[in-house]
Amino acid sequence: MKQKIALLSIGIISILLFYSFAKKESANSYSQHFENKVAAFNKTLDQLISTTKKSDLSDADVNLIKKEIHLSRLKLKSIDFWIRYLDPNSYKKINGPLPIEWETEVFEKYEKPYKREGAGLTLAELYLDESAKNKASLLNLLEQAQHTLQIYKSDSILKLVASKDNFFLCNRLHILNLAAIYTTSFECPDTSRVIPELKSMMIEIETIYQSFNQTFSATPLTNDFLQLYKKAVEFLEHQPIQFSVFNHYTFIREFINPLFSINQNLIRTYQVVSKNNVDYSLNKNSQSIFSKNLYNAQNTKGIFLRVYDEAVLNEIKTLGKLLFYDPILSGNNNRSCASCHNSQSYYTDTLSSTALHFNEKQKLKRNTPSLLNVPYNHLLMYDGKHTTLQNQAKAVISNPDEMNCLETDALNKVLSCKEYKKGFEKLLQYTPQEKKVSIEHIVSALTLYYSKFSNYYAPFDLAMNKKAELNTMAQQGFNLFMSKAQCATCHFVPQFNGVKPPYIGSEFEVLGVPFDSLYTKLNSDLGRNDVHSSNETKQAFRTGNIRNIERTKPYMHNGVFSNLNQVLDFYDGGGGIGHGFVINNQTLSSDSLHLSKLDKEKLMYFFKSLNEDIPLDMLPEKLPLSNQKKLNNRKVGGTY
Amino acid sequence: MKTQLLIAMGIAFLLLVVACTTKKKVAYEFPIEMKSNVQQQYAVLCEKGQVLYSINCAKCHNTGKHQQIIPDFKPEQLVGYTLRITNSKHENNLTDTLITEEELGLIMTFLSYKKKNK
Repeated sequence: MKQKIALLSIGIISILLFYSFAKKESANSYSQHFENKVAAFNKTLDQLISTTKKSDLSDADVNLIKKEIHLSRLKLKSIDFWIRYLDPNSYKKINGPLPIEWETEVFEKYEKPYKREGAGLTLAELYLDESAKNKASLLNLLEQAQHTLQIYKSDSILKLVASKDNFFLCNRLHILNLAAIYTTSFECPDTSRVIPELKSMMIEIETIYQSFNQTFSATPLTNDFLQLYKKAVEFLEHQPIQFSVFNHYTFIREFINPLFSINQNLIRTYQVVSKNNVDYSLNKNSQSIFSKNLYNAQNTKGIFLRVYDEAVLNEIKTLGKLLFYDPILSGNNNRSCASCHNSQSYYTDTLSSTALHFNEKQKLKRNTPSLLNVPYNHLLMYDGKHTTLQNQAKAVISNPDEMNCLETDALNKVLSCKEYKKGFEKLLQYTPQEKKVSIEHIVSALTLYYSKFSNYYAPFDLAMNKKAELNTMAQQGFNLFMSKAQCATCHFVPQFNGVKPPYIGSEFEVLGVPFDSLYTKLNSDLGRNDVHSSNETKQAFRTGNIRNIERTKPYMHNGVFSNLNQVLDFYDGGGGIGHGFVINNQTLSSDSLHLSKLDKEKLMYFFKSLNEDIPLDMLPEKLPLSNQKKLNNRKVGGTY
Repeated sequence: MKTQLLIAMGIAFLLLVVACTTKKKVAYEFPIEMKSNVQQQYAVLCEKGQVLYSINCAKCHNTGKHQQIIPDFKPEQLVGYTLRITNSKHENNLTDTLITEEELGLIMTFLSYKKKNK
């Protein structure tokens, strides 16, 4: 009897034990999946490093190493989903696109550029194509990648992986990268590999989804998502392998953007909480990658942040509009914001390459940028000097070359006008922390006014949101933009500015822009170097937005090109180096893009589809009267 | 009659003055090493921070019968972005579209130098 009881209890205990282990195993299967994939990648790196060590970098060896790099890249792509999100800085040691990069991420309006030395597979592959190469440098790039990979084996990372919240946030970044990065040659120098890598990655991702749903069955990825993802993979399988004819347009429109929308719904339904800086500016409530509320880069309301009442907002905008056209903000009362940012010309100056100096004799150094879509940048000005719209406005008002007016003078002059004084004093109730009207109220009214013109959409956006169709030429133009023409490696989806997923910083590039359109010499403007001095930032400029580009000539930071053909020829010819200049830090490829006449024509159609439907704003009829008589000769919009 | 009116007006004015001056002020504790002119500048920032605190935070955080007691926060509770994501309520109520990093800074300055409740 005793024996039977003992046997029975042993039986029960072992069943219980079995169940508890079985349960544990299933709870771990998703994490285990991650660990296995990291180990598999590590193994290919072992192999790659050992092959490199044994090689003498002969042509045959280089080819062999390249093949192994390609194999490793596929393994990397199988964990890209996690590692890019969970530790973005380490990721760049494994797959950094540039040897040295100054990161310009803005966090809580704080931006201190930091130098990042890249390493890993992309750079190793590029290095293999160089004529003078040595094994030690190549090994260094690869060993750094492998060394960094070990970070992803740490307990802290494993803990992050095993979180349902992080899964949906990883997935969001993955989807955004599918739209903006993976389909371009941004970090894949061998363009023939872009589409094969994409396919292989997406098939791998499906296995991640399966293991997630098994482990986190209470908060699964829904069937509609899985089905659509499967269709996206099927679409890929039927697409030509050539990067330049891949149908980016359909891929993003029919699959990626709808997937984004479903994932956003799940983020809200499952009350996903982020603790990662990466999500800092992404908007949980955005339903489309092609919605202007995808991410928040600038506070357009400034000090009036907490005003929601439309009527009050309109009062502020009315004051902002008057101020926009009022030369009272300039030192000589002859110059207004509208002097350079002309509402009839899409808020830029289409007539001159660079605007007149305050002294009316010289010219300014840089072209007037359009104010349209400025709020979708984290850093402002061509050199990224400012992080807030309000500080930027104050800087232009007080800049001796531009409006040359002290902030205190501007404030006093504005308040000498009854209409302004009454208007702003009435608004004080919405800024109870401020006892009196300040320059902040004035610049906030300005930024709120002009930013409203950035809320409009272009035919391209309507097409991506399936509210309209886009003509075939424009579709093909977009496909070229994303591939062969290599535009999208700097002008990222969806704003086509220098802000890439996860949309937390602005990028700078050294293009080698000429001084004149005949390319007699290189322009001498040091650009970003003025703000942050280093070898890499010499003549670097913040990547501009190409929305409304057809209407916002002239082009480049110095306005050197007066038409888009010149711009396309500049890029097609390999930028400054391609046109014969000696530049040691050009970030643009110096090779020709081999764009045909038809290619350029298609690109033009795409550019046209980025013309936004912006209402024309009428100039105010008159300006508020001041109690200082000498101020009452002001002309609406100023005189120059 | 006229003098009575004047007296009444005088009293009313006095009452007004008293009412205004007794408006509850929160005292600050600045480090002794801080120079007095710097203290004055900080006091201005703290005043702004207090107003912003009352708009954005007081409703949930204040205690007491009339929700008038501003709690003492520990320095480790007053860390910029961490504050925004410290709990799900903050995740929704303390985003940068609702309160700027500059305003958050003013609130933290206020809470750091506010006189402790004991």
